[in-house]
Parts: sequence; C-alpha cells; structure tokens
Amino acid sequence: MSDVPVRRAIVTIRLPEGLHLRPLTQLARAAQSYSATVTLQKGGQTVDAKRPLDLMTLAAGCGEQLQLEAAGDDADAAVEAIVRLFESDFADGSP
Amino acid sequence: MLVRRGIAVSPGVAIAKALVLGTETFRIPHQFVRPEAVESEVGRFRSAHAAVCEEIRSNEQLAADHLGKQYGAIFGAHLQLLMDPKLTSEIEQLIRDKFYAPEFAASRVLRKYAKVVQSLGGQYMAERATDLFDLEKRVLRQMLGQRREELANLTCPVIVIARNLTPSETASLDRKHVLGFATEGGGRTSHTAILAGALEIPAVVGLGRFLSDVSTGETLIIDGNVGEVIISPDEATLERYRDQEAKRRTIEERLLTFANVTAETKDGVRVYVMGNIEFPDEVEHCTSRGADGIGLYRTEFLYLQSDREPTEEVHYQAYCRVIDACGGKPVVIRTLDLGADKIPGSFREQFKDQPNSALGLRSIRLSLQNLPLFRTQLRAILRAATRGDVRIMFPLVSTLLEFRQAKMILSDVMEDLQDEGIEFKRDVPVGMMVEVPAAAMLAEEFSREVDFFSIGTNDLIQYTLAVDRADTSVATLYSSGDPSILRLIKLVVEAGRKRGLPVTVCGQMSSDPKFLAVLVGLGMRQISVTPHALPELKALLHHMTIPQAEEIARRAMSFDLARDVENYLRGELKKLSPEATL
Repeated sequence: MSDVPVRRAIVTIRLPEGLHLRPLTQLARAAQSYSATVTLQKGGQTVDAKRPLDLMTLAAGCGEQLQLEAAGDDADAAVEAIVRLFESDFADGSP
Repeated sequence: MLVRRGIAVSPGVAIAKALVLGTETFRIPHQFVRPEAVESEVGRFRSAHAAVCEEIRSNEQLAADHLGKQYGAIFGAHLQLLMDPKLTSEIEQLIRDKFYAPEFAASRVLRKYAKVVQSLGGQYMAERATDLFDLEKRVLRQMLGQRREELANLTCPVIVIARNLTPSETASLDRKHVLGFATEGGGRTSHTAILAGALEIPAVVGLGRFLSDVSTGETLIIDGNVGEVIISPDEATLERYRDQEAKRRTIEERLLTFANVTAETKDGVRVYVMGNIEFPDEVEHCTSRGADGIGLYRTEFLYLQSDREPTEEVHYQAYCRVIDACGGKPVVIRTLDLGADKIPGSFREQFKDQPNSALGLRSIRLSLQNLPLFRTQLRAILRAATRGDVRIMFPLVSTLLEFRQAKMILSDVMEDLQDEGIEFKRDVPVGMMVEVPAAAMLAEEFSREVDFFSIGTNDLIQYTLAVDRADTSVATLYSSGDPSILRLIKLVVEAGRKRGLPVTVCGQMSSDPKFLAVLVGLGMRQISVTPHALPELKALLHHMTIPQAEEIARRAMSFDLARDVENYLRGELKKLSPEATL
C-alpha cells in the first residue's frame, strides 16, 4: 500500500457563489478522468471528488479552503488538473 | 418510524399510503418486488436511467441552441448528478438487497440526498434540493410511463402530502380516496385547514419541511386530533391507532342514533344544538346529524376562493344553497370576518403595508371602511333571506356605535333594494358576535339594540387573556376554562335573559363536551358547534338535568385557575357520561 503515490494540495474557492452546481460537476468530471481516487476535505468532512452528489454536500462557499488529495498512479496529473481548475475559477466553461 | 408535529386543523385519524404532491405527482404502485424478479427490475431501472440521461442530454442541446450555452449547462449539471457513479449502484443495491421496487428505490435514494442537501440550509441549497426532486420526477415518469397520477384519478386510498394545496386542488379532491391531508405550510386559518375541516377529513398543517422525509407509497398515520404525522409507523403504533379508530367508529355509529332525537336535557329542557359551517356542502353534515339549524355560517371562503371580490350573485347563490338545504331551520349568516390583507381587489393594495394584526382593520371594522364590499354582501343576504329563516350577525363588534353604523347601512341597503323593486326580506333578525371583552362588559347596553348574541369564544379568549392564538409559545395561557371567560359569558347570558334574547356560544368551546354542562348551567339554551360534534353533544344533553348543570356551573365559577376549572369539568363529564371523549 505504501508504494501508492499520494499527492495533496490546498485549493481555495474564489467563485463568488461558492462551489455551485456547474463548477462542481466540472470538478467531478475532471476527477473521473483519472484512475486515482480523489478526495476533498473541508473541516472534518471528506468527500469523493468523483461524485457530484457528494461534492454538493460540502456546501463549500467563497473563500473557503479545501484539502485536495489524490492517491493512485496518476495522482500527480489529477491534482495538477484540479488545482488548475480552481486557479482558473473554472473558466473553461464546458460543463 | 418518524413523528412530525404540526397544527391539528381537522380531527380524526387516517392510515394510508402517502401521495406526495408538489415535488412529484406520481404514485408508486408497488413498494417491493418479488425476489425472482430482482434482475429484471434492475434492468428496468437501468434502461429508465439511460433514457432519462438521454432526455436530459437532448434538453441540454435544445437549451444551449435556443437560449445559450449557460442554460444548457444547467441540464449538463443535472446529467452529471444523475450519472454520479455511486448513485446508480446505491439504487440497484436497494433493489437487490431489500427487494425495493426500482421506483421506490430511486425515490428513496434521491430524496435522501435532497434531504442532506436541504439540511445544509440556505437558499442555494434549497434550490439544489429542488433539482434533485426534479431528477426524481424524471426517473419516475420514465419508469411509470406517462401515467401521471392526477389527484382526480385516484383508485385507492391515499393521504395527500403537499407543500400547500391551492383551493382549486382541494376543491377537486376525491373524498372517497383522500383519507387525510398533511402540508408543510399553512396555519389554522389556511385554505387547506378550512377545507379539510369542511371535508371532514383528518388534517395536519404547518409541519414545516418534511416532504423529503416521505416517499409516495410509504405508510402514514395522520392524527388530526393532536396534530401529528407518523411516517412509516411500526407495528405496535399501527395496532394502537387501528384499535383507537375501531373504537371511535363504534361510538360514532352509536351516537348517530341521536340524529333524530330532540336535543333536550334529561328533565326535558330543550337546548338547540346547531352547526357551524364554512361551505354550502357542509349543511348536509349538519342535517344528517340532526342539527337544529346553522348557528354560524362563515362567509370568508367566498372571499378567499378567487382573486377577485365576489359578486353579489356569487354571494346570493351560496346563501341560497345553504338556506334551501336547511329546510326552514334557522341560518345565521356572519358577515365578512377577515383582515384587510385577505380581501381580494384594490382594497388590499391600499392596505398592504398595514400590519396584519388581530387588533387591526378586520371584520366589521373592515366592512365599515369598505362600504361597497359590505353592501354587496348585505344585498345578497337580504335577497336570499326570502327563502327561509335567515339571521344576520356582525363579527368583532367592539362598540355600540359600530353596531349602529352597521345597522344603518343595512337599512340603507334595504331602501335601495326597495327602490329597485327587488324582492328581499325586511324583518331579518340582526345580532352580533361577542368576541371583544368590551362588548361582553356592555352586554346589557347592547341587549337593547340587538336581536341576539352569539359568543365567539375563540377570539374572546384571545382578547381577554391577551394571547395570540397563532403563537405556540404562549399557548398554555389560552384556555376556555379561564374564570375570566366564564364570567364574561355569564354577563352576556344574563343580559340576554333579562330581555328574552337568544344567546348562543359558537366558538370551539361549545364543541368541547366538557364545557356543555357549564354552558347549560349558566343558562345557555343554544349552542353552535362543529358538525362532527353534534351527535355526542346531543347524547350528552340527555345525560344531564338542569339542576345538575347549574350546580356544575356554580362550582366551576368558584375556582381561581383555568386548570382547576378544566380538571373539575373533566371529572364531572366522566360522571355524566363515562364514554365521553375527553
């Protein structure tokens, strides 16, 4: 188990309306394209980033920080892509 | 099992499957599937799921093409939610492990998420819950075909659960199949409440958010006596309620034998027991139980049922129906008893910024400030009065001046009708509700000018004890047994007796069996009650003599506290009639 690559990062929500429906589905879609497990943590709550329904229950608002964690062979790429999504404020638009 | 508490607005108990309205209008026919059918049911779910995804995709395309990309994105997000990988496996697991029907499983799972999302609070999350309800609706529609279960097409008994019901929805309800109501919104005076009472089906309103706790097809108990809704009751609870229901039905059937018996005491003193109604249809509920007439016909619904002020013809038709159905027995029509905020038309606009208070512009005060509205109603009453024994009653009269003004307008309307050559009845008795303590204290002065008194205890208690009926935090102060209330009633009865005027009690107090003896003992020879209470009260009368009732009244008047009065009366009721409902 110890040889599974794990990557972590802190992401900040800068969207004025928080992590609302459109960005969270973008996020889930991005996470789903990697084989690594991807989770987001807020406070004590950890959710599966591939599940939009789970992400919704985070109710993450503007300015909040989340801990991103990916575990698996493509963990690096997954974290990189998701961090980029957050940094671009989910700009690519394709939901 | 989950118990939710709301406001009891129509008594009785109903046990049936839930029909959840508003967030879905589908009824799930079966909750469970046979074990051997599990795989084919899972397959049915999968193809429905795929079809819904396809449907959303084409909506997304349509919206994007016609409205712009950002609108399409809304459906794109819905699609993502529905394709949530664990969502489908969770639903399939319920089908496989618990033999849930796919419709029931999908409904349960989507509602579970909706509830979690709702519990997070806030407007945004509330809207997300709505999205999930929408998905549930799509999935159910797919699986159940286009067979939308309208309220009008029910084939088996249900309990209707809704955020709120519109008057037209309630009007179209099928009484044979709708056994009860429960709504998230509404108060004691909401349309739902009024209608449930009129339809005589158990109802609880003002439950707050609970739709997401219930799936269509789940078993519910509605306890309209205490205001509880029990979701998925356990066997013991069901058993208890079924027993209670059976007992109640037996008693009710036995009491119905009193329908044709004259309402009088054991020693032969006649006490007129009349019914309170809201709708013309309810007259039948009264006559079938042997009512001596309609002691209170509330006319508010005429104003609430549409967005326009009712025309004279609308009033007239309703009054004629009631009067004709009564077959010559008295009908007491109470003029408008609403606040300015509830009146349709331009008047509402004018007063929309006024506080809507129990002490504000309402009832007779409102009628006196909106004469066209008042005159329309009076014209209709006077015209309809030619058909039977009609009496007019003004609500919430506080001063003699108000009563005189109202009577003056009545004469004025008569003059108009006469000038126009329209047929009407001139010698209609005109009385007043005694609901304001000031009016009770001046009952003697009023008695020189009115033809009858009717004591509206609901408001009289509210105003005397300064307790808002809608505020549960002060509900314990609200008691019909408060010594102050008994004293005010006594004042009115005595003022009436001196001049030989009829005095009635028409508030909830008179429908409560434990107060019957004290009211009769104080000298009341008329009461007006909710229709379902008629048989029990008539039966109870036959168990008491006037000296007994007078002794009970005398003792009841000697206590200092409402609690002691009520306890004493409860005890006396048990002695008079061991099976009376307490």
